Amino acid sequence: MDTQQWVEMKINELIENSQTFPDQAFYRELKEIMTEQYQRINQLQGELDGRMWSPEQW
Amino acid sequence: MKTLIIVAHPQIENSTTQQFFKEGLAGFIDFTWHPIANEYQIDEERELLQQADRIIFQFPLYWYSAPALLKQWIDDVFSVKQLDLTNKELGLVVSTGSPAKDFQAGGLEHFTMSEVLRPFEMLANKMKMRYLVPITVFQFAYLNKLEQQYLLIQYQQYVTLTNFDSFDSKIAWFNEILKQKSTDNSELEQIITVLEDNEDARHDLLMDVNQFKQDED
Repeated sequence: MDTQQWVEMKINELIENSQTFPDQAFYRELKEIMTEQYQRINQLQGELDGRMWSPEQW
Repeated sequence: MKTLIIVAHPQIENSTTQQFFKEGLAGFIDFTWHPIANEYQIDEERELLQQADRIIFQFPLYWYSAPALLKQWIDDVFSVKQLDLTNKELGLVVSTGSPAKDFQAGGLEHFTMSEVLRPFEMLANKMKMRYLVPITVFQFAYLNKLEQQYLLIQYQQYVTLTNFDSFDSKIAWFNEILKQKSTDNSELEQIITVLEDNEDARHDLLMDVNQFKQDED
């Protein structure tokens, strides 16, 4: 299991086991923002690869 | 940051929306929940405004405007000469029983919510305040649990987070609350570590990409 899967699983547990509505809301949105964080990292890695590509290096 | 929430609802105790927001702020500090009554001391109200960094008008939309209660309060309390609110922020939390789709060109109401709320934007401009993107709650009663939870966090950030539109600030906000919750909880501490490591990685990548962009120019 990679770190992203682990953190998602842990936050899912926190959502399920939340005792209050605001706590559950907090963990649900934490999950959302961490998903976006991973997306942004992937996009930046993609952009970096794209910019590093150059026909001169063929 | 100190936030002053001016709540203007003629029947605040019966309003599910207002109670939802009020209870949603439990545990947070640095804000003042200030329901407007029919009687108030103008000097005291001005003092409250001057102590705040962010001022939020929170009200149900009545005939495309604020309830008379708030209009009267603004008429009495606001003054270009006797009240200096320069560089403070003005935010709005507006609720309406109509669906979002009605507020657009060609929709049932024909105009957007930005247009409807223009007088508040003008008020902010006149007072040299920064007008914040309002939070509009359409048909609260029909929101499902997930939508309510999203709204709650959005609202908490609107009240407590300086730069609530920025991704960096939002991450910092979650991190801070996680730290408060994480006492004696090693799993939460591990989540914090992942969150922070990811941010480091993201910022490094951003720097690299920006370097490439500069080199290409």
